[in-house]
Amino acid sequence: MQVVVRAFARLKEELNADRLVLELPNGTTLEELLHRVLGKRRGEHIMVAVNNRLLPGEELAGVRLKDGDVVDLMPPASGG
Amino acid sequence: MRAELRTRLSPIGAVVEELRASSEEVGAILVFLGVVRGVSRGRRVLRLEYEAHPELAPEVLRRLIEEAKEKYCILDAVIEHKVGTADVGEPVMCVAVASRHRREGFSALRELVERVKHEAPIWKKEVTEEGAYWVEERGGEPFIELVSPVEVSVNEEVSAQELIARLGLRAEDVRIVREDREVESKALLRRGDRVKIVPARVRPSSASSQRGE
Repeated sequence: MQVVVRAFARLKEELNADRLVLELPNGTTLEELLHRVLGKRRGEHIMVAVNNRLLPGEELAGVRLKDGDVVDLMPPASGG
Repeated sequence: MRAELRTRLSPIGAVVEELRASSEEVGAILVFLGVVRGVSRGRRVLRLEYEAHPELAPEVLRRLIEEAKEKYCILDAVIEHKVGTADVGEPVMCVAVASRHRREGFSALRELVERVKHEAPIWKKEVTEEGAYWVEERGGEPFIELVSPVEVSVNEEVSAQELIARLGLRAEDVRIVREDREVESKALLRRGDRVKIVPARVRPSSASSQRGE
C-alpha cells in the first residue's frame, strides 16, 4: 500500500523533504511509520495528523494505516 | 466568527467594525495584536517567516473560537494569523473578541491568544543577524520551571489551565492538586480554593504531606 507523508517547518528541513511517498506492507501501524521516518527523532514531541485529522498523543498507538492515507508530521506549534 | 491565515492582516478598524456589527448585544470589543519584535533574546531580528498547515490551522482556529464561545459566553471572535515573511513591527496575529461585558471578554481573549500560540499548527522561523532558526516552545518564550510544590490561594474563579498560564508555568510541566486530588486542566477553581502546584515528575500522592504517603 502507498502512504504519503508530509512534513512541516523544522521537520521538513530535517527530513530534507516536504512530501514522501512510501510503499509499506499492508497493516503497517502509524507508530511503525513514525519510527521508520523519524528514527531517533521519534522521541520528540510532535503533532501528527492522518487525513487532516489531528490525533491526540494517546490515540497514536492504535492507528493502522491504509492505502492512500496522508500522514502529516508537525513540530510543536509556535505561532503568534 | 472568522478564522483565517493571511499574507497580510486586515486593518484593525475593519476587524473591530466587523465585530461591532455582529450583534446588538455587543458591549465590549477586545483586541490583541501581536507584532514582530525587533530584538529577541538579545539578538537583532531581521524578519520572521511563518508557515502553517493550510487546512488544519484554520480548522483549529475555528475550533478554538467555538470553544471560547461556549466556555465564556462571548458573542463572537475573529482570529487572523500571518503566513509568509513578516518584517519587524508588522502585525502577525490578531485575536479579537466581542462580548456583552468586559470580564468574560478579557478571560476569553487571554485564553484564545495562549491557545492559538500553543495549539494551532503554525510555526515561525526567526531570521536574526546571527542566523535563522525555528522557534519552538522550549526555546521560545521564557517560562518558569517549578522545582518543588507550591501552595496557591485562588482569589477569583479561574480554570486550572489559566492559573498555570498566569503563573508563567507550562501545562505539561505541572499538575494542580486540590484536597489531595489532581484537578483536570479545564476544571474551574473557585475563589478561596487552596491548591498545590506540583512539578509533573512528582506524583500528587507523594506531594501530599497530609496523607503521609
